[in-house]
Amino acid sequence: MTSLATNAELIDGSGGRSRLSALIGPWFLPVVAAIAIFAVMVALRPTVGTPLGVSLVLGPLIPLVFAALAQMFIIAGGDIDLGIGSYIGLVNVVIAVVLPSDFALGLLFLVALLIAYAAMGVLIAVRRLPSIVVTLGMSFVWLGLALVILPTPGGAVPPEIAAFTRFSTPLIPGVLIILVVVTLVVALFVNRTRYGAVLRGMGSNAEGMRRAGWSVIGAKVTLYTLAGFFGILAGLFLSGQTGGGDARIGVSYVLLSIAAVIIGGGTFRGGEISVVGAVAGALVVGMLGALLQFLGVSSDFQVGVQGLLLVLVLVLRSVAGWIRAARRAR
Amino acid sequence: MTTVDQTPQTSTPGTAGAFVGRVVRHPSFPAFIGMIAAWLAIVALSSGRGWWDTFSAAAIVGTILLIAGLGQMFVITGGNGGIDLSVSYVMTLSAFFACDVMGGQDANLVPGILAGIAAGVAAGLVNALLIELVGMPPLVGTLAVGFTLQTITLIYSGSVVGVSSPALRAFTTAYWGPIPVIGIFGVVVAVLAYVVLKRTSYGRRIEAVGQNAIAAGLAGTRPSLIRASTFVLSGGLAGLAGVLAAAYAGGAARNLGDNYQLASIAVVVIGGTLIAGGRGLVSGVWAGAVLLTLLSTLGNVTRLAAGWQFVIQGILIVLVLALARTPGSRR
Repeated sequence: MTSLATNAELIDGSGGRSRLSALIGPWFLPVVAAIAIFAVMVALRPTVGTPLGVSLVLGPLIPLVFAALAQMFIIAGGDIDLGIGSYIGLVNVVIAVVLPSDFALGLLFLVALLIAYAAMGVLIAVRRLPSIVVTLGMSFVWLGLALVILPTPGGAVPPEIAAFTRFSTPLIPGVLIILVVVTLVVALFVNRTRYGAVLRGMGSNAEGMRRAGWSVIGAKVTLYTLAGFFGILAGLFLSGQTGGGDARIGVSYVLLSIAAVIIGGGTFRGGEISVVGAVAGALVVGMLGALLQFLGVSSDFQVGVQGLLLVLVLVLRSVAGWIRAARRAR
Repeated sequence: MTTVDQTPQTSTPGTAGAFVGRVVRHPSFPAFIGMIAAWLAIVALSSGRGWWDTFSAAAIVGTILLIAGLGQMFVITGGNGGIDLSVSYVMTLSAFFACDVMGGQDANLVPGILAGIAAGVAAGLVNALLIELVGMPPLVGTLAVGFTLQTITLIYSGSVVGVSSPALRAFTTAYWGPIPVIGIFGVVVAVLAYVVLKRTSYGRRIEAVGQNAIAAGLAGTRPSLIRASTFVLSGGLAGLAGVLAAAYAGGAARNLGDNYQLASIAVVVIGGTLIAGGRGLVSGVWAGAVLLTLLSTLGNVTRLAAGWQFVIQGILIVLVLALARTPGSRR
């Protein structure tokens, strides 16, 4: 959808405007929205603007940022991951229950989980299976394993891990450092390296990439491995923040991560993605939840509001598409 | 996307071998085999459980899953990445709505059932609009609608005393001699779904659109309208399933639909319906629904932890997909 629209702009837009829109890109709106929501929060509670306030508001969003990046790599391959939430929950349980009792076994478990994600990529690519059903099926495997290890919430995350996820400097909040470094590294890899371009191409034109000599299965495995890696990071930071284990803690991350990628300018058909957009999208949906809390809205409404936001963004995008199509037709 | 109907259309009548071959090659055959295997395992592992009791108990709970699964089957058969992830949320909301209208009174039975179905149809209409008019991918549209419904249910259910009508509750647990009445109801619904899908012009259009929307469009159907109708149908069936689930449990509960999101898709996949669309298999959905119910009975009989039951269900779905003879197209 967006790729069509961008082409149309390049064709009909006269010089300057098209160059401007090419420069701005799909990440621009979500970044503006994230800054705007943050500004509203500062206006409501000025203490949010202090380094401590920034840590307290953005800190809880770090797991969502990693979950969004995981989802982004899957969407880049033209797939969708409905299992990322349960996967994060399983990582959380492993860190809170297995790691403290046997560090080596816990580490081995996490490595096995990463390999499992790669294997899922192989299965989906080789047998050309629908990712929706496979990842939905696997989500029950992750949830089931987590429940076997820890039937009811409990356990304790090792204090070292909690300290690591909460590191900070006196001047700059650690949260900001993590956000900037992670976004920069992933964005540079995806946008500026040759293999990054191949990975982005897989969702839109796998056949073309194959003819250019790149392995489609290899790329799929890389994408799923990256998704598994960021899923583990999300679970790690979530564990550090909550301090305990809960098999169902990640369930809401499925919708939120998809929403973050889509709000961040990603599209399903064509596998278009934006790293900066996905990170900003995660901040938008996450801060929206915090903003609702500030306004005294019951947490019951949160999921519904976040779902509605996703619908709204997609509706507006398709309306914009219709307007562009109508203009072109004239 | 070339979809070949796996069922041999011609067979020499009269020869038993040809008939057996047809049965074995039928895409829903594995689901029936799995169903019988699970049935045998339960009877073997649990001393004292009768053959028939095991099956008829599964047929009762399985009927609710069957009805939700049939809606899912219509949506998936319409193709274009069709999937309805709102089924579980629709079921819960419809259950509360129906129980609210019934208020535990038999006098309000019919309005209650209709209210539950109407709520489902309304949700299906929103799904259809978002997907076919706005152009949202079915996955995102139905998931977003589902989460919105969840929020509505959360707020609405606080003020509802969710008690089903006693007559409907009696219906879900009644027996005609050895046969559970709701099991017969399930078979009737399945036969109706079969007739609609395979014997009416509307059903043939759903499969045609799922196989090749462009060709079906050139042949005079409106693919987006047909697909939109499947979402409404799925919503209505999920609503009915929710009403029945609430009646069976005696009332509505916030976690009533939870297990049906995956299960409604699982029964379709296990039953041999093409996940890419174009071929629905009602008999497979029925066998898949009974199979899944028997599996959870098996889990209870062997005192398997709930976690392992989830693991087995998940692996089963992925395995069936991976081993299916016709690999679907991506997504």
